[in-house]
Amino acid sequence: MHAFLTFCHWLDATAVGQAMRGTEPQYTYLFPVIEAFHILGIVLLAGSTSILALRMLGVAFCEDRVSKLSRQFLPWAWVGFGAQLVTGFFLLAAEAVKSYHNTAFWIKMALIVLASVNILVFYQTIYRRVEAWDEARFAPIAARAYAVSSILLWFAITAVGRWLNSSIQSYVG
Amino acid sequence: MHALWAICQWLEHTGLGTTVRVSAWMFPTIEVVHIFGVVLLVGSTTVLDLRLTGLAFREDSVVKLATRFLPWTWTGFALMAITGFLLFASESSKMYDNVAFRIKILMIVLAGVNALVFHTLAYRKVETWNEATAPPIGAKLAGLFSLLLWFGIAIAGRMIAYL
Repeated sequence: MHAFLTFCHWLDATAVGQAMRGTEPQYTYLFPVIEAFHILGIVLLAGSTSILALRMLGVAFCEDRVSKLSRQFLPWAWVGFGAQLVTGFFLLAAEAVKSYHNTAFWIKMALIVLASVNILVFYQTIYRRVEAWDEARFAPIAARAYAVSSILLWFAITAVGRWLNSSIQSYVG
Repeated sequence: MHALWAICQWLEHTGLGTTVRVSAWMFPTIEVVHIFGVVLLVGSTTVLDLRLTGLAFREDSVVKLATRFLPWTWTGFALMAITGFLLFASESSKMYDNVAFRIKILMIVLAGVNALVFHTLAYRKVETWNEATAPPIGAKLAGLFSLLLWFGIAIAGRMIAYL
């Protein structure tokens, strides 16, 4: 990961990195504001995917077909994911090298990869035959396995993100 | 507000406040659950607010979305009130002086007032505009204010630790 470490050194030194660290008075509160939008991104991403997951588990929103809810909420999940990439990049820029050396950061990244692969695989495979179970209260076992793992992963990522925040902060004087 | 200040002093020295404050893991754990609550509360209000403003979810009727999502709003609110109270209790006198905290509480009250006004006025006659893709102006404003307030509450909440 030497290339990534080099990238982190570069990122820390950029004007964006400087601004995010808030040493200049006009940028004092830039970091918490970006962080707040990162949390709102969680609402869009974890919220949308969880609504779909709860439907497939037969727990809520059962009056609607799975495909209809998917059509309504998946775009918002994408908006949320985009928001997380952008805000996450700015947050990383504040302490890129410290993040590189932080355990919570790598666990979070690994979980994000897992969660992303999980949803992509689901929609390319099991979801392909959704018309067969669209109106059923309980989706097939594979879809329900996806649903449970989806909820667990996005909420675990949130928790690890909070751990990342406190462990990076503790480096700062 | 000397009485309020005295209450804050008392609260943080109770067994509850002290336990949360001295524990290495309690505060972060409660805070994470507080963030989960944000997903439930702000997630559900956002769906409804986007419908009220006419920006999204127009194929569903307002009553259907309200019936389906408001229970989650209430659950989320309960979760946030409980976790929020525990977090507050651990450092209440610091919160008393914290501008971001005060603004946050004020905005929560405003969000409640907004919801109350909406329910007693525009929502009373919802059958007349239930299916409308563009709800009446009162409903649109209620939706817009709600979106802005909850987003503002999240921002103020994050600012607390930085002031």
